[in-house]
Amino acid sequence: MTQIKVDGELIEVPDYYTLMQAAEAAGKQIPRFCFHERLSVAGNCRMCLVEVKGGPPKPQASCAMGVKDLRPGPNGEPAEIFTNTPMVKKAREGVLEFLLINHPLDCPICDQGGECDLQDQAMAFGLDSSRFTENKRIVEDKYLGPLIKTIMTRCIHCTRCVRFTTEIAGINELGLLGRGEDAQITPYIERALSSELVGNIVDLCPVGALTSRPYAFTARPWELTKTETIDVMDALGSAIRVDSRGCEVMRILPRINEDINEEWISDKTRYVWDGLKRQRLDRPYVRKGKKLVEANWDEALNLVARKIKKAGNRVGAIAGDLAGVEEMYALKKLINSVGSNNIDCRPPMSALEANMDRGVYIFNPTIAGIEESDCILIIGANPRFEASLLNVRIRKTWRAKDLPIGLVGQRVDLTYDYTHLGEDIDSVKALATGSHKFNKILKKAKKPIVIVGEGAISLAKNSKKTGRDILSMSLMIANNAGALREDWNGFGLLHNAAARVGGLDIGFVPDNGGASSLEQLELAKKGELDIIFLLGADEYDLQSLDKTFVVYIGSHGDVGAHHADVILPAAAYTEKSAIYVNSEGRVQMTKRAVFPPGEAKEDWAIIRALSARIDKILPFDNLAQLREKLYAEFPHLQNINQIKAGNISAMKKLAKIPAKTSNVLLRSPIKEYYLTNAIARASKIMAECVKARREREGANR
Amino acid sequence: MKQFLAELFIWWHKQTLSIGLRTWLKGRHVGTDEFGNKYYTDKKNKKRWVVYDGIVEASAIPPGWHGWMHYRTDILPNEENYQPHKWEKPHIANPTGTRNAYHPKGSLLRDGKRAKISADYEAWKPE
Repeated sequence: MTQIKVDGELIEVPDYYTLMQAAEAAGKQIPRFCFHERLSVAGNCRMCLVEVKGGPPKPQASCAMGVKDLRPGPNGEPAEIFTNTPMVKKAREGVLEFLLINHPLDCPICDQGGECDLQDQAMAFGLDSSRFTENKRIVEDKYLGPLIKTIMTRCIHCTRCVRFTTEIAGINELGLLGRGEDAQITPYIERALSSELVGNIVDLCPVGALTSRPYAFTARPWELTKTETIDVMDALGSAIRVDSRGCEVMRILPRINEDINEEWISDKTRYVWDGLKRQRLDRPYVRKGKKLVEANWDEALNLVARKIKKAGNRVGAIAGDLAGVEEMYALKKLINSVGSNNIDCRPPMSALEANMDRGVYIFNPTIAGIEESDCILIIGANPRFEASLLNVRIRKTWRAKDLPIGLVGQRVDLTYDYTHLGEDIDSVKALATGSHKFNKILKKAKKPIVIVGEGAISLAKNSKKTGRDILSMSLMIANNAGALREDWNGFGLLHNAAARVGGLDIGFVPDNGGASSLEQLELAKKGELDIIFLLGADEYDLQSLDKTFVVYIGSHGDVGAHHADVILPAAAYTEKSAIYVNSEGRVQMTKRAVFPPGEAKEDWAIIRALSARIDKILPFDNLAQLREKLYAEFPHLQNINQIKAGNISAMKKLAKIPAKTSNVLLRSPIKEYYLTNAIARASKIMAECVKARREREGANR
Repeated sequence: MKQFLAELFIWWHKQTLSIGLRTWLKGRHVGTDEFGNKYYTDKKNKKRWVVYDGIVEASAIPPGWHGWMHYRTDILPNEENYQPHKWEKPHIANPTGTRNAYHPKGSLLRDGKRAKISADYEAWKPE
């Protein structure tokens, strides 16, 4: 700790603080353009100048100068800086005048207008006029892919985008070329940026040089309704803000959540919003003959009710990737009420079982906990595309310290260096028995993390045993490495779907002789299951379900809707308040930003209405009552933003090495990052991203 | 009888009793417009007033008479030297609240079918 005087106020700050941090600790606002908390310090915009007493007779950049760089006074008094003297005022005016020399005055047609740092700071600190009479410089616009629109004349060369892409996204595709007036930000080659995080440079850009291409000219920030909610595109549940106008979602922005996404979100999360407006199920449909025809709710619900009554307990239900906890709970109760246990929310062939401890299926070390780790082993996952922001955390830790990372699985670009340990189950076995080279590194680590991909424990083409073997061997590896301790639980299962952990938490898995998703579909094909509910389930093989009555409850017309006999339109994640449990086991709740389109209803309400028509009325009439019942049964779900920890000894019991394993390759289940769910598949922007990526890969060849 | 009762109790039909009395005592009829509204002035040509034909609706006064009524001009539209502008269209009284009121496209009072806008969602259709 060291003492410093800011504007005459004596404060004590840690000696590694910069002057800017010290000023902020004293409650003084320092304007800035290039400085960003999560990026390296560039110090090139000069907006954060402060006066240093006894220092050099010129203003100092407070973001780049440390408190310990300051000299104390002649008699050992604490160093002193000023943020409100005439010198500082003049310096800020000068900087802004220089910046505005080459900045176009096109705020009225600029998408950044209203949320522009330059606009705000020119108002707060700038002069009213410019003394510049020469021609302004013009910079050619660059192509950065389908997501980013560039108007490079507006660029003020803060280099935040360059620093973000190189430091956090891990791509070296953006840089500053030229000097002085000729300086410009450029991608060197005219092609789309290859990262899945590029949308963040739109947020980072303090001016309107980089703006969102799909959002261009559609809305102004002050006319939007902001709803703070949770993302469901991956299993992390990033904090997002949904900006809507009327019945329409206009854009999605990140919120700061240090536990999960810091302040970044992936492109799929950010740009999926146009999928919320396309391919929507807005009215019930009933299949008559071969064709689906429009129906009203009464007709559709009565038909389903008649079929359930006839089916007895030959009923099944599969929950998809985006289902909230409430609707899964309601559906579970409905299926149980007719005497069936055929419910499933897992991918086919998943090794996870109903009676397993929570510790086995959540990401125990937590995402923020990755930063404490000193060794990471990834088994059968591609975190870059399965959970982009978890990958960002690993990269951040890898950059900050010497972090050995091992990967079993497909050799992919993860944006950081790793040791490739093999691609098949034998490598996992070698690690489990301790005969692998990487075991030595694991042994040395104090806080090792073993990340197991959901794909690795649910290898679709093989028997259930393979997945179970990988799960138990991974637990063995974690146990041998000392990752299963009371003070450090380093075993993390990385799910791919937002619904998964919630479904496992409330036991939406077959128990007491119930059929799993795959078994249900098999039974259905044989005609031994009379009615099957698909709660937004599109990721399964739904071919040849002619012998079964298929009820699809969901928001988008995707694979499931095409195979359905009755479609009951439901709400998407921006249109309902629902609980989602992320991969860490963190309970989170979405909020409604807009209403569901047309006649669509919230999922739980549909199931409740159905229950009344089969005379098995579910004991809740509104969402609050449903949650009351839910919380009574699963108390940990009421602790929003908290994680109920797994039981270490229960996890240890599952750790074992099977004698015989059938050899398979470990592969990530994500084939196309931009198209992993029904909403993303409906999105035109996502389709453009896929096209841009293919073009890019074609050019690389 | 009906006219008398209307004059006695309401103000929005043709004229009130006092206006009728004043017209009878002091009024000098100067002209009638194409809608049948009658225009009066007093003997000294100081005051000008109108007795509407039917409902009292100020916008029913056509532009020529409007100018005279508001003392912008002393030239009566029925005089020979009155020259209407060549771009003047036939006058229509304000139709708000009547059957002829304007309703924009897509209004429920018109056809109820509005054009597509960018905020609309695209519904899924089978096949």
